[in-house]
Amino acid sequence: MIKIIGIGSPFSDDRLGWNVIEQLQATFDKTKMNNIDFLTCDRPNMSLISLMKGADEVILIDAVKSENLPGTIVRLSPDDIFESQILLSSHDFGVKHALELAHSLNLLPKQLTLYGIEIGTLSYNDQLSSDIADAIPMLVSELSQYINALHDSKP
Amino acid sequence: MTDININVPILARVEGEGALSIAIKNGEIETLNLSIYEPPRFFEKFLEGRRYDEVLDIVARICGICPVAYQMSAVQALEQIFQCTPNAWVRDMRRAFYCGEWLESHGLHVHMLAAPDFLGYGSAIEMAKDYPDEVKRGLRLHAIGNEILSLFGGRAVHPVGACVGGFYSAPSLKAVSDMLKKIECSMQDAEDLIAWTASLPMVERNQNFPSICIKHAREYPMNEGNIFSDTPALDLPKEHFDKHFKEEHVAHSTALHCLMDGTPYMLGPLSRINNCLYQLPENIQKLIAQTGIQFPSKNTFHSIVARAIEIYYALQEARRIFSDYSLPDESRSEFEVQSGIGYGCTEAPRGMLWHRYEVDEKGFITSSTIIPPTSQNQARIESDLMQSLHDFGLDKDQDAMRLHSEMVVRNYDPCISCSTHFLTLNVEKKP
Repeated sequence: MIKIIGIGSPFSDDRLGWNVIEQLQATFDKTKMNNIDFLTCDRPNMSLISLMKGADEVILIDAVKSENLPGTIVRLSPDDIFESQILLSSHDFGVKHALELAHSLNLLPKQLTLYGIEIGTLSYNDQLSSDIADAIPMLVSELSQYINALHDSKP
Repeated sequence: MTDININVPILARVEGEGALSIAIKNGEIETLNLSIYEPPRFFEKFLEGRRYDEVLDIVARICGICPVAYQMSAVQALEQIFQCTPNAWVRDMRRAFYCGEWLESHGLHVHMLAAPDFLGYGSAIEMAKDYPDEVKRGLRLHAIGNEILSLFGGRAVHPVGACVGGFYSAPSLKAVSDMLKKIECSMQDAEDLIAWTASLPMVERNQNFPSICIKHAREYPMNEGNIFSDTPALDLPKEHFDKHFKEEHVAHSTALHCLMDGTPYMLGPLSRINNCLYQLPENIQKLIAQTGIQFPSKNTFHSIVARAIEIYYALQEARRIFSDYSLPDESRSEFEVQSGIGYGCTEAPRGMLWHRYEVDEKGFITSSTIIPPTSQNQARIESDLMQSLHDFGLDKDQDAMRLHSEMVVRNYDPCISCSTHFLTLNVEKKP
């Protein structure tokens, strides 16, 4: 089972995780992808741990803030996340804390990758900025190829 | 003797923003200011001009941890204005909904925020290495609370299912039946939790404070009741709140301090247990007796035990309600919009939450007042810190004093969501 989880509040660029999931879901015929679960959540805090439950592989999609230009796509392993000083997601007890807690409790899935898109200053509306709107299809394309490759490699 | 200034410029991971500053001179605390900047003041203005049916979605956004409390106090006030008495099904389900929030909020606080303080860990993440089973229990209890919230609210964070008159829809029989099974499976966790919290290393304190909560003739405080204080004795309808409770500005905080007849007071689970333990089911009262802790208690650190007790109560109460579940004819009652003034007062996980709304004849909000438990507890937290630091010893090293201060503040669960280290301390010693 693979779980692909989009994280964010529904406002401004913080909703990019939701948009990626929406577009990914539209890409696939779900009846042929019954081993993939697409989820979205708004600031899950510790609940992220229970959301990941039962998955062999988890792909998280979230907004990140670091020194990169807005729209930059980053791929982070759990170790990258634990060592990173970048602000992972805009949420307080955020993804990093939840994953650290899961790690302490041996509750991390076998494979986990966080795909982040760098965001700039958030505006107070429900529109995506052009940088993020441009980056989303690229991430969707990358993830689609990855999922298709996994699917095709199955006997 | 060295003068000490402890300045904590930012209380991180607070619902709102806060800071703590303590100045010690000649071995005495000269000033002690806890400043929490509460967002609800802005929400009062946001609500003006909005229609009544937007209110619940807006107030749910005030707090990510206790949105149901804001919704339930608001809906009570609006239904008072519209002279709408929800049917028995709605009343029961609102109580079950609220149980979900207590479980989610208390489960988080006991295991992730408070327990590391008692056991000497810097965070739940550190504690999890030595206490994995306990932390996993916290995750389970938190999760079942969230599931109950989702059952009625469509989602756990900022739920959207509640409306004036009741709920937009009723959960299916199967959904409730499935939930009931999960609740049953959690009972042992909750029972164990009471004994575990009571066994934690406990600091002895004996402070004098009024315990205040709402009180209802037939049920443990949650959805409705009069405002009750043990000492000084007070029992008044929610409509008379502002005759005794006054908010005032203090120089060090943008949040208002709320005092009862000029006195700080304590809200939250310890106050509810202090005032209403006799309303808990008999089996829970027996468990409490086995802990050896005497309630009413004036040791504020017993709040963690009170939270554990309320977790068990919330599970039992949800089980009781769901055991008799049937689909209603209507999940919401009819009403006619009319102008007026209404009041709502319910028990958020961290204490009494009071609302007042004024609505025009078309159902638009013309004024609102929201007094959250955190601002009501703020003066009490300062009093507690003052006494606790004296008892702790002002000659202790400053890191130890900071940690103890954190523990005291966190003990009130002041809407400090998901925090383990919320005080970043700068210490300045004066020669």
